[in-house]
Amino acid sequence: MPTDDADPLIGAVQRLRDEVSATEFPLELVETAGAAKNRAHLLDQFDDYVLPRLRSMDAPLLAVIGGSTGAGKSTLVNSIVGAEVSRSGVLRPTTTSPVLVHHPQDVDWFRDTRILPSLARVTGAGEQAQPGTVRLVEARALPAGIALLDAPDIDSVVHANRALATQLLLAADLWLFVTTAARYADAVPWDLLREASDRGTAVAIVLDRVDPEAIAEVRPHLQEMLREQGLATSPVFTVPESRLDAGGRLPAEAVDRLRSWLEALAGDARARAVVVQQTLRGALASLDGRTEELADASRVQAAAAARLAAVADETHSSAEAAIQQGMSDGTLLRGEVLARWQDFVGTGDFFRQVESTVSRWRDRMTNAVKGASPEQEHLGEALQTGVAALVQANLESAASATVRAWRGLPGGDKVLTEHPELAHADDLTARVERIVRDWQSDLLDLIRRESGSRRTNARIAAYGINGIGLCLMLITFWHTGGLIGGEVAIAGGTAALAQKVLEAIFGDQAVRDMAKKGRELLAERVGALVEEQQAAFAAAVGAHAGADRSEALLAALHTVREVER
Amino acid sequence: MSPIRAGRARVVGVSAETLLARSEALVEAVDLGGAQLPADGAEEARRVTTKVRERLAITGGHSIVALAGATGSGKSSLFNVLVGSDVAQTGVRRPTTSTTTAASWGSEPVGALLDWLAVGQRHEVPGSAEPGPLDGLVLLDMPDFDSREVGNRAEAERALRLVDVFIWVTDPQKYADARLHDDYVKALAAHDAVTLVVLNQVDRLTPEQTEQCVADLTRLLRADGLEQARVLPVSARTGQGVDVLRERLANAVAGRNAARTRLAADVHTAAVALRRAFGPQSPTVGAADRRALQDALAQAAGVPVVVETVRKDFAHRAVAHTGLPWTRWLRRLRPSPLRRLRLDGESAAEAEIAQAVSRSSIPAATPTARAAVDLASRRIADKLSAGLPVPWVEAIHDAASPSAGEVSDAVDQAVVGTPLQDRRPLWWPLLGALQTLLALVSLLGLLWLVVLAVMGWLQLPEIETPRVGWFPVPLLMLAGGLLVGAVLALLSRWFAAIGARRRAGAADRRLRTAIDEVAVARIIQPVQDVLDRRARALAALERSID
Repeated sequence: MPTDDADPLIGAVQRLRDEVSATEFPLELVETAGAAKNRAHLLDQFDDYVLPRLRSMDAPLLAVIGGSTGAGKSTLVNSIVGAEVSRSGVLRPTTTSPVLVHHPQDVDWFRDTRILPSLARVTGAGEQAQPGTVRLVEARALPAGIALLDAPDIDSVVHANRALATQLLLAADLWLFVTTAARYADAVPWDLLREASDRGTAVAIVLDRVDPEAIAEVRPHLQEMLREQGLATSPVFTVPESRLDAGGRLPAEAVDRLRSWLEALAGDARARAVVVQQTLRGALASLDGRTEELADASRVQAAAAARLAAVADETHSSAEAAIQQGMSDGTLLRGEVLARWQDFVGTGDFFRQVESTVSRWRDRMTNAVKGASPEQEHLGEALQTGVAALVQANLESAASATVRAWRGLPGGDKVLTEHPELAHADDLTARVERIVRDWQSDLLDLIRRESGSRRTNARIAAYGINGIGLCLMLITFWHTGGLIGGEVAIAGGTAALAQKVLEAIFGDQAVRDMAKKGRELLAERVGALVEEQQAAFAAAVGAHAGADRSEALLAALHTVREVER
Repeated sequence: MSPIRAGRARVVGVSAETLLARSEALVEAVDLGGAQLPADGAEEARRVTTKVRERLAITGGHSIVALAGATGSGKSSLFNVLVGSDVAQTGVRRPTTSTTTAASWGSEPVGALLDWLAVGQRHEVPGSAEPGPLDGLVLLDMPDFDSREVGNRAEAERALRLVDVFIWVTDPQKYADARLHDDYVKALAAHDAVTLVVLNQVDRLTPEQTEQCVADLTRLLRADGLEQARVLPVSARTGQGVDVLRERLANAVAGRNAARTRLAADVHTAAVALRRAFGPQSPTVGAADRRALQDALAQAAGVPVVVETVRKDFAHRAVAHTGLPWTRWLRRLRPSPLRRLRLDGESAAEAEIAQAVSRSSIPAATPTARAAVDLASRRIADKLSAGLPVPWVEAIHDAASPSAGEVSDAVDQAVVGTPLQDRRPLWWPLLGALQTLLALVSLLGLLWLVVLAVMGWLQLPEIETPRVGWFPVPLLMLAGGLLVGAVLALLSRWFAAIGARRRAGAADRRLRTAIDEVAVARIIQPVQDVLDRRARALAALERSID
């Protein structure tokens, strides 16, 4: 059955199909709302029609009978094959799952998933129709080489029907479009007819249920409308409103013309090939505009995603900058930290005036630092809370600034509704505290690594490693860059003392290196956290799924055109 | 029961005053809700209010009934049957009708109403000089809403916004169309009371089929939200069911309240749609939130540091006043801890200047403190806006976050402006004087002893020294003065510690009260204002819904 898979056209179309499938529209944008639908239709058409038809040009012609609810599609099919193959009735919508009628000889073409791979096959009449199935019915009255598919309606309240009917119509070699005297000016069917005309699908119109006296007026009007739509060459078959026989079928003469036209088509391989070629060419030709629409939409999506991501990037960068600023300008060393520090070293103003030499300071320090005094704990807490609050507040304001900006940007609102966790990261507090704790142990590691010699070790032991860690923390936050006037004295005074202590133990170069390293480590941890937060925003806009695939799409389309020529 | 379905009973609908009050309440809710309401919903509410004002201003008790439906369902045929002559054009060519035609019954002038409806084609049903059951009826034949002619649909929708009673005309072919159910019946389901559904062309069906179709259509209408949906099978061709339809129309007209019923439903729909923009519950600022905010602000303002300083200050000054006179001068060399923070307020003028010109030198407005204030106000905003729709959440967050520097400054000023030093306690001068006395006594004893010793060295005649038991009085004076002084000094340190703790506690309370005022003024009140505005808007909206 599969003819020539090496046919370069099949390969090229397959590649285009894969590109279309890979193009996603994760953002809900006004401009690309149509494109998402277009993509689904395009994929259906590739899978249900273009690829199977290219692979087997000699498969039977599939005529899909589509139209409004109540137009008499099922009655028409039953009347053509002369048997009740599809249920008809007065309740709307009557048909909810499609019925494929074919000659027994053609069964192999339809039993497998060559076409309509998404629908399961059901045979036998007695079964209750299941959603997602297509019922295969054999009918000897139908000539071999043509198959009729009775599709559900396109316009009833059952919306699933409309989607299914659209998919089935896309799989058709030929549309048998059924409308009625009351319906022929309805908007919904004409939307579909316009699409068919744009796609170059072969269409035949059945004007059903016409009062005999109205034919003279209605038929020319319909033909005029068809001409306006560019479907002037489509044959129009008129079926008068008639009393149904006992089997619920139209009298034979009512459908005679239609049946003989179908039989002629089935019997004449060349005529059939013409119809098939027309629809296939039309489908291939329609790829241009539709692929370009997808490419444009992909570009728009990518731009919108990039805009959203850029906002998140910007807010988080400035948050990181603000955190760095807050940590290095010495402001962390004021306030409570300063007060705790003074408690810690236990100085009063009197002694500040009397004692001045560093050596005496150091004696006091030794006493203060050794052992975990409550003052030491307070100082440590004050430093930690300070850093944590600084990081958390900046991250939260970055998040809320991003959320606000997104609400005003196209596509942002929907993303936020789908990801409510972006606006409120519940575990942020815990994560911030963790990085501060981790950083502290980084500092302690740093000190242990630095304490190579036995002499240093002994000194560290004399002060207690935690006290040394606190001193190192203080120095890390002291960086005279951003301070002015008196503040230098306060913060500097605080840190200078700690620095003297450390320098006495490690030597001044080592202390400078350690402070620098400590700052880097904190910056690294904060940077990682900021990046993590930002990545959550970027992931939400589907920065990856929504990448600009327009180039790849157009390239694949170009290949199809090249091969065709 | 609705006027259109009630048998012969005359139902009293909503009065014009009530209707007007509701629609004014609706517009009040929209005004109060402001930017926090969705623009389209607010727009619709204003439109409805305008419509209510306009319609109620037009005198006369007419009821406007619209025949609406798909192309080919036989609206015009039905219209002609009801009017009694071929006023509307009918035909097989689809769509047939593209403009609205009006027919009016009764002698009451109808011009102003039709002008408001902007209907050009007017027909006065003749032979209605004497009062008839349909007097006051204005029947509209409308264009279809489902054909390719987009203009028809626009005209139909324009007129549908203004009419009082909807009669959906459908037929056995089209009764399950998505366009009819999803776009119209469902969207206008709130007008259940003034809605009637007619299944035309039943002459094409057998009686059993008619029954089936009516049952199926009724089921679909129920699903659309028309809970009391009743389908009227008619045939414009044979006249079947037309009498019943005429009777229904007479009922609708007789009540003379169809217009108000429709408008009331419009107000209700617009109000219910807006109700969603308010969210579920109406939160208020709780004591716990307030406390948390206060704590955060206190922390950010360095209150623990200040309180600790007050404690030390008290202890420091107590010792300076009541310590041993020999060592007091050492204390005097140190400035008091509060002075170091420029919070001592020793001269009121100085404090005022400090408040006006500079800030205290307690830790102020560091990024860390600002961050803490920021976090605290965000917490309270989060808590109060939980579950509310986004616009309210944003409004509350805006109200809760004035620029952080502003809050820090205000808190700082509050701390500076809070008196921290009390008047000195009575026991200080007492104990101080006692200490001086004891010091004097011991000094005197020492002098005495020195005099005695010098006299002894000079071998001057010994003066009888008074003794108490074995001990000479001067020795007792010296040793006793020193000993008692030392014990007193220890005691007063103990008192000072107790007093210091009490002072610290009092300072803490005073500071927190001051900070609470800042929290209320800068954060809680603005948030409460937003919540109040929301509550008032919601109350107005509820009034328009009742």
